[in-house]
Amino acid sequence: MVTAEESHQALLRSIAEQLKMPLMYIARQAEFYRTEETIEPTTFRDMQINADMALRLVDSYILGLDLSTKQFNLQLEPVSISSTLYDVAHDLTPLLRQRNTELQLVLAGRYGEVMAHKQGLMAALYNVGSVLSEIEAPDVEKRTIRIVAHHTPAGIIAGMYVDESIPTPSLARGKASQHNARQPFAEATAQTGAGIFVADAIFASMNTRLRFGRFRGNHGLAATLQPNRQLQLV
Amino acid sequence: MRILLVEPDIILAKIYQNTFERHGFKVSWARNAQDAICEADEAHPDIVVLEMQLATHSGAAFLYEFRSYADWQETPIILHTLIPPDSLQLFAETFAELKVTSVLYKPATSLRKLLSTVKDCATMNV
Repeated sequence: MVTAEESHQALLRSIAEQLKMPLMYIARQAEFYRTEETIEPTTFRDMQINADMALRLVDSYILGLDLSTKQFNLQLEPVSISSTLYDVAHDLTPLLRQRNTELQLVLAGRYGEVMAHKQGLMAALYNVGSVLSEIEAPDVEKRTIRIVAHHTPAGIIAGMYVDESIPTPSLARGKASQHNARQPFAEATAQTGAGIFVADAIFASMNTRLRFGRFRGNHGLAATLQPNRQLQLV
Repeated sequence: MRILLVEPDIILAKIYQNTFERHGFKVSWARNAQDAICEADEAHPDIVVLEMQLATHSGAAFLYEFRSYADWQETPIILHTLIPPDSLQLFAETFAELKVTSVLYKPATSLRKLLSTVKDCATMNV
């Protein structure tokens, strides 16, 4: 027997799948028109970037649902953290550039592989970066987001950090108030910060969580991933 | 070179068709598996771009039917589909047996990526 919650979730999933279509129309149509000589290219470039970002958010939400359901056979695999962060940085760059934000990749040391769902890991980090780029920074001309991997005794931490101070307690409160606040992260962004919740759901399915933390004086969001011990024995 | 585009969505089909034609390809379009076989018989495509998620019969049905004809054994087939990569992973061996050239996840594939994949197939097919 289907519960009310399962029914509600199935409905949301169905809506999300349906939403992908018009977003694809916009993104691909904008991409097509970018090369038309008679049309101002930046307009359609911006349209494409934002439509692709929205498409990715919806897709990541659906992926998070799939990863968390019992029917979905979650295959964690050895994933190169370095190449994953490179790929995420590559994908995020057009969006961040549009928001006058620079992206720096910080890989301190050598990294083997971590046990993760590669598509999920990329989706989660992309969405975190997307939300961080929305954060209000009125006194800063150009912002920097750092995508970082570093070793700790608990594992390899992969995350994204901003150069101005995010009020960490308010972000933690925001996470807790997801269910009863229209703007859970109101002190940081005017948006809903949906990408953070989507990323958290994806990480939860990989038996880790998105947490607020600091790296070299910068605040941000990160998850702890477990190294692939098998390859370390070789 | 002629592309057989098997795409159920009219709007996306128009965008892809315009893109391919802009880059010098001829395009035949079919919305479902049945029409795609008929179109292939008439147009003799050099490359097939196939959405797996079709109405009535799935893209898999088209794949098996298409490859059953001697003339189309070596025609490159690009899957350009809404079905997520994890779901398609289960059919990796089948796709290899049916000589699927590339698998692209449609929501994450730009026109640029799609076009470059088609051009790679065109180069191999010459």
